[in-house]
Amino acid sequence: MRTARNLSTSNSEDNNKKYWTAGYFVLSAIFLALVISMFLFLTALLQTPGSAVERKRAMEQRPANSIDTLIIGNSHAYCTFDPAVMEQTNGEKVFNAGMPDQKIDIMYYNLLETLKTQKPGTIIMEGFAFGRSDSVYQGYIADMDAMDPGFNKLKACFEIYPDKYDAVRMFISLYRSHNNWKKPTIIKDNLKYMLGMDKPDKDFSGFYPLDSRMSDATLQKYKDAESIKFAPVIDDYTTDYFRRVVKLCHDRGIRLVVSMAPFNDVYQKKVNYPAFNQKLAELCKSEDVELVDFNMLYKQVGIEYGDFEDAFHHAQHLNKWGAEKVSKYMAEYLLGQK
Amino acid sequence: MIFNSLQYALFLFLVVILYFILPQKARWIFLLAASYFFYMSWDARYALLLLFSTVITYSSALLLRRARNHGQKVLYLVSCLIVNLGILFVFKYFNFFNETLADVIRLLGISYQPLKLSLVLPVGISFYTFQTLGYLIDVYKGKSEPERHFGKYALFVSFFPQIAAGPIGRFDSLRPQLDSKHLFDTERIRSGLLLIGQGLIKKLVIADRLAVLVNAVYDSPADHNGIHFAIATIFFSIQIYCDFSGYTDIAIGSARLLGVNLMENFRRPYLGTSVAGFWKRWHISLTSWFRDYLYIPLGGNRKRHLPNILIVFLASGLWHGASLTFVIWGFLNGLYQVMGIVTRKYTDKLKSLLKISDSSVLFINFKRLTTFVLIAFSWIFFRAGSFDDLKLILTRLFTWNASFFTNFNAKGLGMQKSELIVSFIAVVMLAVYELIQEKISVGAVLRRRPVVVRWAVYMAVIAVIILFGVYGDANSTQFIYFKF
Repeated sequence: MRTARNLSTSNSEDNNKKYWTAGYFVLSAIFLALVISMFLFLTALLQTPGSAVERKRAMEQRPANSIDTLIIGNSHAYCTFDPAVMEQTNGEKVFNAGMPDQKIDIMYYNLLETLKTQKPGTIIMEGFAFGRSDSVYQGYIADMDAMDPGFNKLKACFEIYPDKYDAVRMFISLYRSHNNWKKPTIIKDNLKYMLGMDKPDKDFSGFYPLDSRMSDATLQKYKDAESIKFAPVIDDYTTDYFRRVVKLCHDRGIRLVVSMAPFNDVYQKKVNYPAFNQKLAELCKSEDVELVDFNMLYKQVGIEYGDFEDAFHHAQHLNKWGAEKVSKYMAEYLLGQK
Repeated sequence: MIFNSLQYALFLFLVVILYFILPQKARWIFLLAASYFFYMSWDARYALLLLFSTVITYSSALLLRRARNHGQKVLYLVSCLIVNLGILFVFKYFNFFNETLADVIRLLGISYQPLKLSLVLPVGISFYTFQTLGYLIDVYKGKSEPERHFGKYALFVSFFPQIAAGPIGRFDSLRPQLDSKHLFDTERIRSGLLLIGQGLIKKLVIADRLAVLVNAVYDSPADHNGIHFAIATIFFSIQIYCDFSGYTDIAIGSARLLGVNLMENFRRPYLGTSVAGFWKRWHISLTSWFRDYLYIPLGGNRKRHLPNILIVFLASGLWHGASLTFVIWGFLNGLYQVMGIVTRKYTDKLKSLLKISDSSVLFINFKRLTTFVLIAFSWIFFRAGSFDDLKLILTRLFTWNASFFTNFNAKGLGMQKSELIVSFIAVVMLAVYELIQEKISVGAVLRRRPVVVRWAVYMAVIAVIILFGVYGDANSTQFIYFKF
């Protein structure tokens, strides 16, 4: 009798212990969820503003499946292709999702995010994005920080940054932006955006018109092109990401067009453009991807080296008049008229 | 791998999980491996030095036990002390003594170029050397039995939460805990995590924030005047407390997660009502080490009381760093106490004359304030970058510029105004927290509150660390005591 009672008490204690342990883990999980929610809230609240964030937000404002042609790349993309001109020419809905300094690795992960809500028929990839973002360079940080915190970003960070500690730091944008508590205007603007009180311009197409004309500063920038460090690179790393982009488009039935925005003669010499162009052509051919290299189409488009009136802003980027010509040509090309 | 890094957070998480998954027999081996991994994350080569020191003290203790007579015992002890302190001397003091010697020789008119060793000071060398020597002296005195298990002794020396900057453990209390069976206790985990949170707030939110101003002023003393030094010195007094006690909280909290209770190292030192009282609450593991292994053997307060105090504090100054500024800092603290003892009968008379009660709140706080001022003044010697800087600071300390108040510019102090405001708020909140803790345990009170209140507090702690912590930029700093 006593043994039976002891056994019963022991069973009851065991059950209590089990319930208590289960309860503890449930409570811990709830607490962890609260901490993560707070973390995400603070991330959004303190996000450092900038072109990458603004472009990301503008993209998010687009209704789902509302883009026919998507342009991806970096400043060479968003200073070159004007969706308004293209839409006027071929009647398609175009959005320029270029991000400042963006390289092909981050671009690939940003494209994955975009394709969650959009189903474009055509993607134009500007080829200046051939490069890698493994250094902790401010431009790359801004692009990475603009990404939504989630599994896609985590994967991007761990694939792009060889140093795992860098990867973790890049994933947690609060690591850099927490000091924004000192800047009330940033908090106010982010809060307004979160509350839906400050929506980006719904007509923003992603195009960034550079409307400079000839000036001493422009000429100086042209001369300074010799010292520009950035150059597109086609190596195993960038080729691998390019193939991922190709596969992504192929799997989803998207037409992929690689395009090189025009840049000036000084800069072409600096980066040994003929060699790059040859590699790019070979790569596109091997992957069966269309290539439109505007550096080979100056005459057809109607732009000239050293024309800082109607073509170039400086050695690297077009001004808005140059962009208009290139955009028109590209739209016609997509229609099969070129 | 510093305590306030993401690597340490991951390391600790994995160590705690694996520790409780592993069978009891394997736990000490795992902890030893984790401790050496932790130590080697700074510089793998110095693990050899740690191992060498461990082997020497381990075998010396066994030899002490086997010694046939007192003379042999003394020989073993002294040999081991010479080897261990010799290593410490080479790495920490060689250049200082050689340069001092060169200065003395130059004063005699002889040209002498001192030999300079370019060695990096191994992390925690002063701490583990003292810990092992304490053990050895305990064995010599018969207070402790020598450890026969080398692996477990090696764990006692290298236990990762305290290897880098203490608390300096005592063999009798620490060693048995490293071998005991610890169950996964949620209450202990909670309290350990809270302590780690408290440490992170002290380090990241207070110490490193104040360091911005302190470094700006002390690193370029020629650009600052008295009021700047006064503010920077007050800030440094708080910074060093929060830096070191923050580190200690994380160390004790980390050990607690594994079921090990480390020695208390700080007991709200700035609430001490005398310099002696301050030292009973500050870096307790070192102070008590000096008391047990130096002060009492010298005669304690029975023989040569006052010189003993000065010797202990000179040694403490030298322990902190190989520089004249540290020696003066130690001496000054010793001198404060000697002066306190010498003048006690006069101050007692004055008190009775003025009818001041020792229990009066006003008088207690007055004593706290005067103690803080004295200690803060001594920190100038501790923080000064060099002896030349120290001379400049002391000269400029009393040149006050009234325009500071009329044309206040926080940037002159290396900070933005918002940072300065947050710093002041943090200091005030710390003072309030310490005053409350002196009366009641905030942790115990919190434990009795409903879960919603507790969670709100935990979330607030996390939010404060995330928002106001100094990390991820050039202002992030190493723990001050890591260089000792």
